[in-house]
Parts: sequence; structure tokens; C-alpha cells
Amino acid sequence: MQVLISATLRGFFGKNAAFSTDADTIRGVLDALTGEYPDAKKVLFEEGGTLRSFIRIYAGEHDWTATEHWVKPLPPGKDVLLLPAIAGGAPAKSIIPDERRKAVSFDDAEIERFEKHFMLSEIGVKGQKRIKTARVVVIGAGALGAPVIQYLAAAGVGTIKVVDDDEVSLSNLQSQVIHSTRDLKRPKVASAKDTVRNINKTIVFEAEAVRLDAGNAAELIDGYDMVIDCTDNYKTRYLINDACGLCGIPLVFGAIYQYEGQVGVFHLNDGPCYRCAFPAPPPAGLVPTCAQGGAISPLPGIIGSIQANEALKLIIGIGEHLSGKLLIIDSLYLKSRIVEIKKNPSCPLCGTHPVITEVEDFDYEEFCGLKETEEEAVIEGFTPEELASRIENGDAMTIVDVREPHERAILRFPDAIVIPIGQLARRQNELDPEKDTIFICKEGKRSILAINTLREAGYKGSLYNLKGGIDAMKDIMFSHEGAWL
Amino acid sequence: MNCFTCSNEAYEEMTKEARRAYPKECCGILFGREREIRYAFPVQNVVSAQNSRRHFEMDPLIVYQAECEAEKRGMEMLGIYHSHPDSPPIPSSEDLAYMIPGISYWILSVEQGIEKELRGYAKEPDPKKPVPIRIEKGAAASCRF
Ligand SMILES: [Zn+2]
Ligand SMILES: [Zn+2]
Repeated sequence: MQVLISATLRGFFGKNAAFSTDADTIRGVLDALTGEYPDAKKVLFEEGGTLRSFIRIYAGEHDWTATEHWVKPLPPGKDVLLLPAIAGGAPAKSIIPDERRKAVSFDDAEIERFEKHFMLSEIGVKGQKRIKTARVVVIGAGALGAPVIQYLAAAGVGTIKVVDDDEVSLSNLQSQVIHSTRDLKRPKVASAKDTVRNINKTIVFEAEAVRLDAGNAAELIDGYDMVIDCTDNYKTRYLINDACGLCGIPLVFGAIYQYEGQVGVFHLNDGPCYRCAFPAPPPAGLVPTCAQGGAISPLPGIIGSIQANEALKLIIGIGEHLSGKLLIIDSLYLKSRIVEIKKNPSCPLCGTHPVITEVEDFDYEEFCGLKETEEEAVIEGFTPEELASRIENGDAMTIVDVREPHERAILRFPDAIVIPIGQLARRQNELDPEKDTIFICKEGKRSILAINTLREAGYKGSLYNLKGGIDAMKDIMFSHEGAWL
Repeated sequence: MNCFTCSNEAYEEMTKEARRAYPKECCGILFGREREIRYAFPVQNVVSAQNSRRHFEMDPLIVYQAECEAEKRGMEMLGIYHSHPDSPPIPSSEDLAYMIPGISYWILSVEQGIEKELRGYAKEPDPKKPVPIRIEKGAAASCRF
């Protein structure tokens, strides 16, 4: 079979226009090429082993660049073409059209209010007009929403829609600085609206006290200039990402966990999306969300402020932004880094052959492969009552706690040994296969993953799950463990 | 470094295309020999209409066909050009990401539909530093950055 090499790339292959090989897959062709021309490896692949963005591989007239094609048998009688992807773009530009900017004017109070923006030559009157005419949707009025909504309002964003169906609770006040004690039990959107009104009552605040779901996502964001994701769960992140992709609206993403936060910009022009960065979510319950995992109080302030800053730069059309990048900040050790996010040609939403054509609800547990399927061995479990009576009877068994350290600190499970899921396979010899082993976690999901992990690792003893996790067991008191809680 | 030269014919072809495409980006290939750009070959921008104001992309098969044709005529592919509607001829982060070593990249800024400035870049040694070019407009041409 012949590999035809574009003149633009020949310099890396001994100036040859063609290369013969008996490889029958793209993978085989690439191995043969880099075997013959070892220096070409650096040109074809990044350090991490992914193909460089400027390379395209065709089999005949079809694009076979996506790695999913690399192991397929090549069509007979077709040449493989090694071609350059020739692409590029212009630097950052405002997402707000000029016509809308030109329709805006300021009164004296506004000129005074925004004088610090007018002093910056990159913003000036033109930039402030873009901010005033901008229409932004913020999903979530919680920890990240608090700084995002307040800074957008302070900066003068003309229309802010906030979507949140939750009410303010006492534990929210540790980080959600948009709400205060007198807002307890009030809808978060109502409390946020009051705060925005106090900052600038000319801002149009649209309160949507609904939960974003597959049915309403597109409708909630359609016609707006930008969406800012301030939610705290994976499922909603995918729904928001899909809705933004389908409506063609740029998305500023943010997430926090314990001491670490992330910010990224997706769907900007032809840039990558959240699914390109994270094709599948972590299994439900495996990685605790912020709600379960906790976060240090100022962290959402840091991350949300960066989200608001990205949003304003996109509106004004200045600077470098996080499209195609993910900023990761570690607030504990004060480290930050930016990782590159590439557009994934096989992305189901924004790839070359998209399969997602509307915002669809999906079964989160099935999506991340946690759902028990029929073929899989059924996982046996105990109800909290069954486990409690076994403990009371003093039955011989091993209880393994796979929760995070902070979860154990709040609620210790008596006589349990602690093994993180990641170490289970390696430390299986700490378990006695002659005895029953019971796995416990907060909700009874991570424990299922633990059992599957051990089974895959070849552990032969009997394994049981605590159904519903410790959450379900909280109300059961042990006669001999009076101080359980 | 030796100065690139660009024939008046190639320059006219690029500017004509850039004006026609405005406010969208145009793109194409430059052919010639060594550092002498002789012909500009416009290529269709395949980026969707909604995104083509800020982006360009060429069909790799069209590029391959064009370079094979040029080779038959004793020409080589020297560079790639594209326009920046209403923004300066400075490579964007996306332009930089797609630069191939050994190929020159030419950016033509177009303001309000009129061409303003042509600048060239090469991935090595410094992708952000313009390379010198002389446009052969009659006898008064001089090498400039
Ligand atoms: Zn460009
Ligand atoms: Zn994608």
C-alpha cells in the first residue's frame, strides 16, 4: 500500500513524496513511518502522544484522522494520504455585534459609575457599551454564581438571567456571599435579585426559579450572548454544554472541589466543548461533588471571579481567553497551570459526525458505566438493618470504608478498615477471603465500584455492599455504640 | 534572513480575494520557487458561515491537489495566506497552533473592506516575529517588515 505525503510535510520524511508499507491500519502505517523516519515522531505527535493539530490522515477521499479509525482495516486499493490541516483564525473579537453596541448610550450617572472602565484604553466607551448591551445567563446562584452575578452586575452587564430552583440554607452562607442570614429559606434567585438591585437597579434581572433539565435547557438560553455554568454537578454540566453547542452560544465553565478549581471557555466560534475535554464523567458517587466534598470558603470567590473576568473579556473583545484551554488552580499550594483542550473530531456534539442533535436527558449512571447490567454479576448487599444485626451478633466479617478522609472525620464507622478505591487491587491481600467483606461509602455507589474493582482484580472471597450507604444507616443506633454520631 | 519577494500578480490576487470575502476570512496557497512568491491560489474557506468571520480552514484534499498541480509546473508550495477582517496582521493563538515548520504564513489585514497590511511569519525560529517581504510593485519596491 502507498502512503502519499503532502509536500508541506515531506521535509520530515526524507523529502519523499510516497512511502510503501504492508501495514493494513492507520496505526500500522504511522508505526511504519516513524520506524523509518524516527525524527518524524516529534512532528506527528505531541509529547503526550496525541496527533498534532495540523496533521490530517485520509484513506482515499475519507478523513480517518480520528483515533477511532486507527485500528480499523484500511479499505483495499486506496492510498493513505498524509496531509496538513491548514487552518487558523483572527484574534479575539467581541461576541457582541457592532450594531448593538452603536445603539447604546450613557447618562451622567453611568459615566460616573463606570469611570474606572473608561480609563482603560482597551475597554473605553465602546467596551462599556458592549457590556451594557450584553445578555448573559448564569446557571446556578450558589457558590460560583455569587461572585459571577455580583461582578457582572457591578461591571454593568445589561441583562442577567439567573436559573436556580434552590432555596438559601444556613450551610450556603459559608461561601455564597450573594445571600445573607435574612435570606434563609428564600429562593436563591429572589435573594440574588435583591443583591443585584442594590448594586444597580437599571440592570434587567430575569429570575428563573426552575431546575435546568433536558426539556427546558435550550429554551432557557436561546437568544442570549453567553452562558456561565456555575452549577455543582456533572449531569447538569453536560446538559448545559449540549444546549450551548446546539444554540451556538459560548460557555464559560467553572468548577470547584475542596481547594482546587477549574475554568474554561467552550463553544467559542469553532472551539472545543466540555465533551471534547471530558468525554465521560467520573462514575456517579466516585468523585464527590462540591456539595459532598466541601470547598474552602474563598475558593468559589477566586474561580467565579475568573469566570466573570473571562465573560467580560469575551464581551469587550480583548485579551487572551480560555477557549481551548482549561485553567486549574490549586489554592492550597498556590499553584496554577493551563492545560490545552483540543477539539475532538469524534466528539458526539461538535465533532465531524455529531450524533447529538437535541438536548437529551440521559441516565447518568449508565453514561459512566456504573449501572449494573444483566450480564454483570449481581452485587449482593445488606440493608442497614441487616448489617446492624450482624454487627450486634458479632459475626466475623471485614468492613471496608472507601469514603474520603473528611467524610470519615464527620462520621466514623466503627471497626471498619480504610482502603481508598485506588489502592484496593494492590492491597487485596489485607482482606481475608474466608470472611465476608462489606464495603461502605456515603451513598452505596462508590462501594459498588469498589466491589467491581476487586472482582476485576481477581479477588475470590465474598463481597457485599451496604445498600444506600452510611446515609441510609444514620438513623440506626447500635446498642453497644451509644456515641455513634 | 533573505527577504521574501511577492509578485504584484500574487499580491493583487490576495487582496482581490480578501476584499471579496470581507467581512469573512479568505484563504489560499502561495506558490513559487525558493523565496519568490509568484502565484496566489485562492482556496474555499470550509468553516461554517457563522464562524467564517474569525476562522478559516481548507479542505486538505484540495490543498493536496493544488500542490500536485503546481509541482507539475515546477513550482513549490511556499506559504499559506489568510485575511484578518478588521483586525491587525498578527497571528492568533489558533494561527500559531496550526503553523507547520518550513511553510510561511501570510496574514493580510482588511479594514472596512480595504486591504491594509500584509505580514509573513514562519514557525521557526520565532512564530510571532514577522519575516521581511518585498512586494514587486514596479521599481519602487523596497524590503520592509
Ligand atoms: Zn489568523
Ligand atoms: Zn466537543
